[in-house]
Amino acid sequence: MRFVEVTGLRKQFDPPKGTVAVDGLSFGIEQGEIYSLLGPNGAGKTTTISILSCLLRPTGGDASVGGASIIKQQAAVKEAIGVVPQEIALYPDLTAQENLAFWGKMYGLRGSPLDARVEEVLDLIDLSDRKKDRLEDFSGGMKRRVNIGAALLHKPRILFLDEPTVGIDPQSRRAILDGIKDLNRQGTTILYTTHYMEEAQELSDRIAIMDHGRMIAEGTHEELVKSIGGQATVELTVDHDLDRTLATWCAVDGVTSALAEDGRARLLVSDANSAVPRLFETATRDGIRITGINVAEPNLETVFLTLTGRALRD
Amino acid sequence: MRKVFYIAFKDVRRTFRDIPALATMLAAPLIIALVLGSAFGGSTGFSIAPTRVVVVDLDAAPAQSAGGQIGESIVATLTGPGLKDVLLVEQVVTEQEARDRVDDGDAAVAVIIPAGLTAALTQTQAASTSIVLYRDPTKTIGPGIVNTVIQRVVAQVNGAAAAAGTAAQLAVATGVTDPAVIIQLATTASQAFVSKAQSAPLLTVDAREPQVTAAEKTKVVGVAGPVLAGMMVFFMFLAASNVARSILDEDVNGTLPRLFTTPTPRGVILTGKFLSVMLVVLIQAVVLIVAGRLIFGIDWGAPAPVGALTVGGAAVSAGFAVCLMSLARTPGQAGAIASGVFLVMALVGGNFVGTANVGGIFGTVRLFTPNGWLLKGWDSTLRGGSMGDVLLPVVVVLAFALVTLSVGVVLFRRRFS
Amino acid sequence: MKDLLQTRRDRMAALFTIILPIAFTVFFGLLFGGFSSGNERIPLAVADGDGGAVAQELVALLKESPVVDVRIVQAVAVEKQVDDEKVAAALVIPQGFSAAMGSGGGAAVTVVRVLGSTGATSVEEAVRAAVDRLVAERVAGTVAIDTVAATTGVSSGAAEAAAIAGGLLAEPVLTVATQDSGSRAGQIPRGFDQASPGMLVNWIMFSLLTAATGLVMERKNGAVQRLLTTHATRRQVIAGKSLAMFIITMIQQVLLIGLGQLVFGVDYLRDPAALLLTMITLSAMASCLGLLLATVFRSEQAVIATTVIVSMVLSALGGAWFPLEVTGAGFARIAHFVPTSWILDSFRGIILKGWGVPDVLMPLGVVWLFTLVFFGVAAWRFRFE
Repeated sequence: MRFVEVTGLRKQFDPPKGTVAVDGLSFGIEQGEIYSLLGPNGAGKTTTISILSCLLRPTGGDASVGGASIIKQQAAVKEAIGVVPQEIALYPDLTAQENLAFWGKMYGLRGSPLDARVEEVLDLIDLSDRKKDRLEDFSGGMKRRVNIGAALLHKPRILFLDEPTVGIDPQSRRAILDGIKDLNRQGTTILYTTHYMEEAQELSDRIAIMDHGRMIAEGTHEELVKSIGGQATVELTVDHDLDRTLATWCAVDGVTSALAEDGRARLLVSDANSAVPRLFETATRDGIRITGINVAEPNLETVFLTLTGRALRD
Repeated sequence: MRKVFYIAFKDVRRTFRDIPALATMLAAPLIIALVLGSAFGGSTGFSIAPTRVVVVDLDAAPAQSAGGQIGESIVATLTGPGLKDVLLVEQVVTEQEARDRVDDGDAAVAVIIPAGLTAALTQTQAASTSIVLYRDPTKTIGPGIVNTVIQRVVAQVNGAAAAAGTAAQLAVATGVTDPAVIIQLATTASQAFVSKAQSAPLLTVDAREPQVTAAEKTKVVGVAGPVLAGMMVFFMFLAASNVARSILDEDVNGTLPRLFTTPTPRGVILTGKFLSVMLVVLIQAVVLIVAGRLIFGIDWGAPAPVGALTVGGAAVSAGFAVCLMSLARTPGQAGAIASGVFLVMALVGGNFVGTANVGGIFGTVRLFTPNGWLLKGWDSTLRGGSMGDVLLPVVVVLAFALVTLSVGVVLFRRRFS
Repeated sequence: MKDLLQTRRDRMAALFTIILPIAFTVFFGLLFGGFSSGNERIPLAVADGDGGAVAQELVALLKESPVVDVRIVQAVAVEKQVDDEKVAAALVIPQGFSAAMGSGGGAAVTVVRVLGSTGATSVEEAVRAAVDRLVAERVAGTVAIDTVAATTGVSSGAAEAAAIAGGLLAEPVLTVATQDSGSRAGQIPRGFDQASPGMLVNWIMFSLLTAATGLVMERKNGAVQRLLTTHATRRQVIAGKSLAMFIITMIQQVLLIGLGQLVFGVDYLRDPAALLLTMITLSAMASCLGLLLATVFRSEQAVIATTVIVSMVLSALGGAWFPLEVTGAGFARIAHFVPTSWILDSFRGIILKGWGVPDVLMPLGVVWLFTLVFFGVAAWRFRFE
């Protein structure tokens, strides 16, 4: 059995008419892998993590973590998991050390083992020199590091991270991503949610793409990209009526889809090298002036776009 | 089980790091008690500013009336040494001037002694005449004092007149017919009345506070004690609601859900939070009681009833706070509800009025509030009461606490299930 | 405008700023209404431990008094009745009272009351008045007998003399008439006339809390910064917020004054012009003060703490909780350093003394000075992260 097994998970808020946040989700996570849930805001990623953390009761389906059911064996599940929520769930008027010590106590640590472990974690997150400072004095990146540290005190077997890099500087983000890889190397299984394609790509062994509460694709990065036939993305800026331009280009041979995004045209093409000249041709013919062009190799954004017709970053 | 205390202590620590919250909990009641205490002139009794009085004596009777010019004697009483500290009397010439002074706010009351007063009174068949007190209606104490003084004088005048009239009638009844003799007897009688009234009084009126215990002496209670007790009770409720609000705050900023993801049972988490409320309020009460002793010299009473009232007060404010918080959806709402409810309770319970009793309804209504009961208890122990005297208030208060806490617990459990 | 809409939408704020003050005013209005002078008699417990003729006479005199409502109780119940505030005071007539009075030796009665109780003071007054009357009857009778006897050699009966004296005292030759400055004919000032404006000021000061907190919350979530990125200048933003608070407090005043006037007969509308000026002055002062408090502190907690203290102290010092007369001389002097006392002077002057616009100009002028200072400091300090 896989370390995390999710079967037909369903969550509807305020049934019978309320929002269905998670709709029949099934997946599994092997021990020791980094598994990502990738999807735009509102896809159901946070709800999924909340259910797996035993914060929310599923309306249907079940899941197990380390063999323990999230419905019937919550205590065992909670011992095994460490949860890093999306918001900074810490006490701003306590110091970093006090925060970590408190959370450690909540996981059952006490006395000198607790103190030692707190020091270890502070070292891990590289904040030993700031341990006596109150959290309210920390930068965003530092707070996120403590946020992660608080989940590590009891050495969980799996770590749930819910969009841990939102709104922080590139340096801190780099530190966090590297830290996660380190943890994984030491044996911690990781469940990571994000809407940043690059993160999912860099970190994950396997990725699940979610939209509207459902999983629409799953696999390694290569598998996913290949599944859409290796289509490339071409972005063009035009000095013309965008909608008419899109309509024109849709008809061009080799163009799979065309949509407007941020005032630019975003096209999926099967082969960039042959499609681009054709696009220029059509443009010249119709008097459309192209002012900018960007070609991107197939990636997860493309996958999402192909599968849903929408962009990942909404 | 330990976790309950870890959670509680964490909250207590956070509360005592929050300087503004400390200000509300500790500084505010002390400052206000200081202000109110100084309002009432120090730790015992009253001392009010002297009342400004104008008097106009229109009584210009010839000098030979019974007891001298009555108008003059009234003026003499008002300006006499006995009332020097209480009244600031100025004599004016015309009635209009006297009235104007009051209208302009320069005097609290004008005493208008009517013309021909003495002459009117020395006739045996006198029609009744009046001294007019023209008052500033925004003042109550000053005119009240003057009224008392004047009534005393008037009572004496009436008594003398009655003596005169009685002597006259008795004389006639015993067969005296000479008007001159009758008048002489009347005059002598009224003078005798006056001198008798001024010597050893026939009947004295003593006034004292009620004795609440079997103890021989009743303590003299200063004003600071009841005032600080009232403020303490009010601010304990306020502090409790502040700490209890952290349940909602933590829900909003994510630390409460995070707690729920740890292996700590929800019941333990909630219990820890409830405990923190009670602890904070207990500490607050102890600090205020000690401060009251050290700064204001308040003698709170015997340790047992003081302890019982403190614990009872902490329990009921914690209970109410938790209950109210369980009814609110957001922290903002919670703040508003709590302030409003506690303010109303405080005003009804009499926290701001001290223990000035108007009797009757007010005394009964305040018993619908827990703070009303607490103040009753504090009143009692401040005046030397024992454990037995505060037993009923403490029991009632604990009952309030139990009910409100239970409601709060049930609602919170349901919300966070 | 936005502030008003926000407040309207926030039902809890509505509760606090509107419903509670109304409920409270009604409650206290009824309470005070029941104790207005002359309408209801104040309960007095009488424990007659003597039972003799003179004691009964004293009790009868008390029963005639329009001020007290006599309740006969057992002596043992006295302490508790007073302590429990079931009666405002109690009179204890000791055994041997009638005998002592009859023989001319000094007798004494005791009044049991709680220090500082306003009801008790009135009751004690009434007791002393009855005592004076009782004594006067006897003494007048006695001296009349002695005087006549000294001349005629005939001693009349004590009872006869007392009866005559009593009859004469029942229609006293000298009375005290009280008139109130500024009152209309037949108007009796009542407790609520004094208390109503005090409570009004109290509630307005408390609504500073909601206003100031609201501003701090906005600052915290950046709404104010966003406002400033529009064309609004600093001063315009501040003016807008002050206006919102001003309007809210004016509405509160209208409601509470309307209530006081229509339901409880407090004559606010005696001089509508002066009243309006006073209301405007109060709202302006309160809104600028609220603004000042909000701009001085950063955190919501600090604002709440300070506002609670400031509003309570200002109310107390201003004379909203108790008349300044009962305070020590020094305190009453300090009181006029706060704007609330001047506002209350104005309100009470209008209601009780028939003040018009010329009379209120001075006190209101002082308050405007305070208001301008508050506004100026607030505008200068208005800053954000």
